[in-house]
Amino acid sequence: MSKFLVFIEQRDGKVRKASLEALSLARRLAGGPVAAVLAGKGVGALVKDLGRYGAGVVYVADSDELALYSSQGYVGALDAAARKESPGAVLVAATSMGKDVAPRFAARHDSGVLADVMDLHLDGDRLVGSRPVYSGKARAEVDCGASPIQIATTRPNVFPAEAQEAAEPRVEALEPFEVAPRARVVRIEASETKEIDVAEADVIVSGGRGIKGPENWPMVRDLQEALGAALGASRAVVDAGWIDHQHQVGQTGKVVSPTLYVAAGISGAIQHLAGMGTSKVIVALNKDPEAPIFQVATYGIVGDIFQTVPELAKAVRAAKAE
Amino acid sequence: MTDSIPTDRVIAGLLGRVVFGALVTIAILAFVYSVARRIRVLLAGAPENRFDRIPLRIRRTIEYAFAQKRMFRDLYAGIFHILIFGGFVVLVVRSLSLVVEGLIPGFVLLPGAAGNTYTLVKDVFEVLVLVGVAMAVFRRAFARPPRLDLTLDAWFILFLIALLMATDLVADGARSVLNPTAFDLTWSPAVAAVSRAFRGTAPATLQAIYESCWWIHLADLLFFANYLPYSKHFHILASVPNIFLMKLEPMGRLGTPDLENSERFGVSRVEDLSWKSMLDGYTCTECGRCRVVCPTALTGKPLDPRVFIATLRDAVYDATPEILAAQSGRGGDSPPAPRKDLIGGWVTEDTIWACTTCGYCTSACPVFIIPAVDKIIEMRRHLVLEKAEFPKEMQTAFRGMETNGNPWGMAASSRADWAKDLPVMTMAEAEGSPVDVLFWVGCAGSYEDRAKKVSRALVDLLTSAGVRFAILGTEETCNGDSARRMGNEYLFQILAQQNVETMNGYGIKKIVTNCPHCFNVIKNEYPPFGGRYEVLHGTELVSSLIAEGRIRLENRIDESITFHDPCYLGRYNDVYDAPRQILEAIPGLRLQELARSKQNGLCCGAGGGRMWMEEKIGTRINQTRMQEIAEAKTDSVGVSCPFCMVMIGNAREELGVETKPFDVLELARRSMVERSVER
Repeated sequence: MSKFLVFIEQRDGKVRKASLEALSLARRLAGGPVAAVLAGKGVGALVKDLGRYGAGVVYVADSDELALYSSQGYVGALDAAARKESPGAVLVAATSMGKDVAPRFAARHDSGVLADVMDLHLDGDRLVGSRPVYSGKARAEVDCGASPIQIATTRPNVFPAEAQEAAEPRVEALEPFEVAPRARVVRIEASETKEIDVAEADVIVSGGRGIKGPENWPMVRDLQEALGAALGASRAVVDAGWIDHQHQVGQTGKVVSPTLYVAAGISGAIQHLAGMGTSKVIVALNKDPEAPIFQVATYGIVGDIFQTVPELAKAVRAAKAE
Repeated sequence: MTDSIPTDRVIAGLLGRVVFGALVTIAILAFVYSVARRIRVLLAGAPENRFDRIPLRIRRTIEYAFAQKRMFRDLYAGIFHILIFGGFVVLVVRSLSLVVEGLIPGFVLLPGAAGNTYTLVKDVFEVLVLVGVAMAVFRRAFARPPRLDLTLDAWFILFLIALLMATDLVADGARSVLNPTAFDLTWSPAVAAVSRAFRGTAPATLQAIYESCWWIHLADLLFFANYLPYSKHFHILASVPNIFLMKLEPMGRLGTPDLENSERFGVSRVEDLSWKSMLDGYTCTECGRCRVVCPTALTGKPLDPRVFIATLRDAVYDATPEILAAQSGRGGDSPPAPRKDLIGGWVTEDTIWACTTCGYCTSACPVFIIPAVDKIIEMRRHLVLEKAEFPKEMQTAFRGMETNGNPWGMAASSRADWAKDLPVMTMAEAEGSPVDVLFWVGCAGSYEDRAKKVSRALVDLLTSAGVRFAILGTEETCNGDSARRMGNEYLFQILAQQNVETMNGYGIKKIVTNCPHCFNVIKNEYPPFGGRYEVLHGTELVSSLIAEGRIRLENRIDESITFHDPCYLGRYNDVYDAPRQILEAIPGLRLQELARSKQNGLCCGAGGGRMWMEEKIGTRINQTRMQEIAEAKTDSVGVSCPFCMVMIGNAREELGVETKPFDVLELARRSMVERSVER
């Protein structure tokens, strides 16, 4: 198999975990260190870590123009690295940045993209991806056909990011290249409200009748904040007036499909399952072992949510602090 | 001889008769004109065949228009109504003869014995009508049932009726004293009583009384006839025809539009209403029976069937001049002023989406108006098929039915998973071996947690009874009830055709299902799609198996229970006894009826696709019903519909009520003594 090149996403000097997942995957497929490309301003310090996840060489594009993300700037960096490396395959994490970068790069090279794959393997030299279709009811196997470069975007949180002891990667600075910005990011303003829309969220923590009363939302909120999640709710608690309808998940509320859905004190009536059944990982916290939510849950804890929810929040915070 | 007949004194000479004749002619012409206008508007309505099966229509007319079967559900109102109605039938002859008397001096309606008999009947009925009016007045003044709107119009019409009777009696009474030889009072006891009261009164006074009463009577009569077409009392003329023209199809079958060849879908303008729908509006006399157990009217929703039908009538009246102008080719060059649409103009969208299609109003109306359901579905069709405007949460259900064949959108491939560990064959597996009955499981029975347990209970009951049955498995798909009643006729027809094709492919003859919605649709709405089957509800099949001794209920359940009737089982299909027979067959179980039960049962709130919508206006229908159930103070409540189970179960949690809901079949399963079953 020819060489792999992995696009590393960083914002505010932090590398996205999804990119490390893509990097680890490339090392596994290639059977050894691969090339990576990193764009930004003052990002040299990040290179060292990339070695542990599989980068043998890191192409670094460092300039003022690249301080903030721009489509053309970052695709330009990937392009420049590709010209030097001549990879056979390019992997990009399927984040919102990756979903912008990959198709632009593919268009420049007249290649196809295996978008948002949940599995990727090599069949000889051919990269074969597997992706969910029809809301997860089927999987499609896809390849890039006769593309000169095979490109894939990998779904976050699917592939493991494996750190190994490794030599520090070789750094190759990319020649400054001209970015002719048709659009320029002037500044980024974070939204005032911290509340994440439940329909957009990647992680959701939901509370149901089991929380006993609106006075116990802080407990659920604590776990929600620890996970950086959006707050969801079952119809029962919305009907009871414990929380606003915009949080309702289910048949007559929002239909969601996050990567992680934590259901606290929700029995899982079909009206609720209809709204979240396609979530990738479902964690059920309920005291009733017979609750139907356990039938769809990936992980479940049978127990008093007034113990399990705070414990889980503590564990999440501890894991994140590591 | 002639000058001794006082009528000559009333209508003085030829000139007087000419003037009177002219008055009568004008009144008749005005009446004909008013009624003709109303009828011509009907001609502009959408077509609908209501002239089939004439003998049946005649039978129904006798039963419901003349014997007024539905009126006696409210005994007091039924009695005074039939008194007044009977009076009208008898006295219309008397009134016409009085008019003729005015024109032709000395006119006698019927000679001899026939005349005497009529005189007696007339006399009695005039008194009975007065009694009826007095009862009506008492009710309006003192009893004041909440279903009535106490309008001035109603008081006015009661006054006109009483005046007609009183003036006739008084006129005859005065005349009989003035001219005793012309009257044989043995045949008119009421007049005789008036006559006795007038004894000793001066002839001039009597003459004045007689003349004024005669004129008042005739004026009242002619005015009354011309007042009717402009008031809710058009009822008097329209009800008999409206009953004759009633919907004869099953109550649970909605109209099936030809979607391939239609240019417009549903109802949004007055002209989109069928002529019969317009006649419904003419017929309504605003008695309010339709609102008594209406779930939306009871819980503060904008839909009140009595108001709804009157609003449609007002819309028809409002559009009348324009429709008539268009009909006669007038209307001229200037385009007509923009008229309010029914939807948005006369009726709000919230009103249209509120209906649970429980059918109470339809089954309560004594004159067979369909106050809400069919008309509201027509309006929903317009909103969904033409405008794609509907509560957004309905989209989830529509998409689920479209892509996965169930409103929750659960995977179609897992439809038969509930039966994985049960000895249940699919029709495909049973190919070749004989099957007595197809068990139609339904979406809830296949996917919803509690309903799945009920499906298992039915499997156990049938297996134990030795019934050879099979399911369609993943070949089954949603029956389409919710889609149709939410106005998505297109989706319904696709689902219906698909299911009929599957079942006809297996040559299915007999079906059992425990979902009243599936039951109603397959039984009543599939025949127009070529699906004709014998369809039984689970409780019907199980109760007959109990009666045959094939299922033995011997385990005691020492509890008190009440029963909540599902609309689509009870009101729509008259299955009231089967679930009760099962409950009564369980040893120890004590059945106690709810205050509102059977045809007066209150809806749980889930019908008409409301299961898939948010209930944001007013109080909760399911909680209202649960409160009624709790008042029965029984240990549990029997239900026979998976939607009722969800609604009642939710309300129970929300209100913290003790009464536990059980499906009747779950209880039968618990009480059943299992025979050795070969598995």
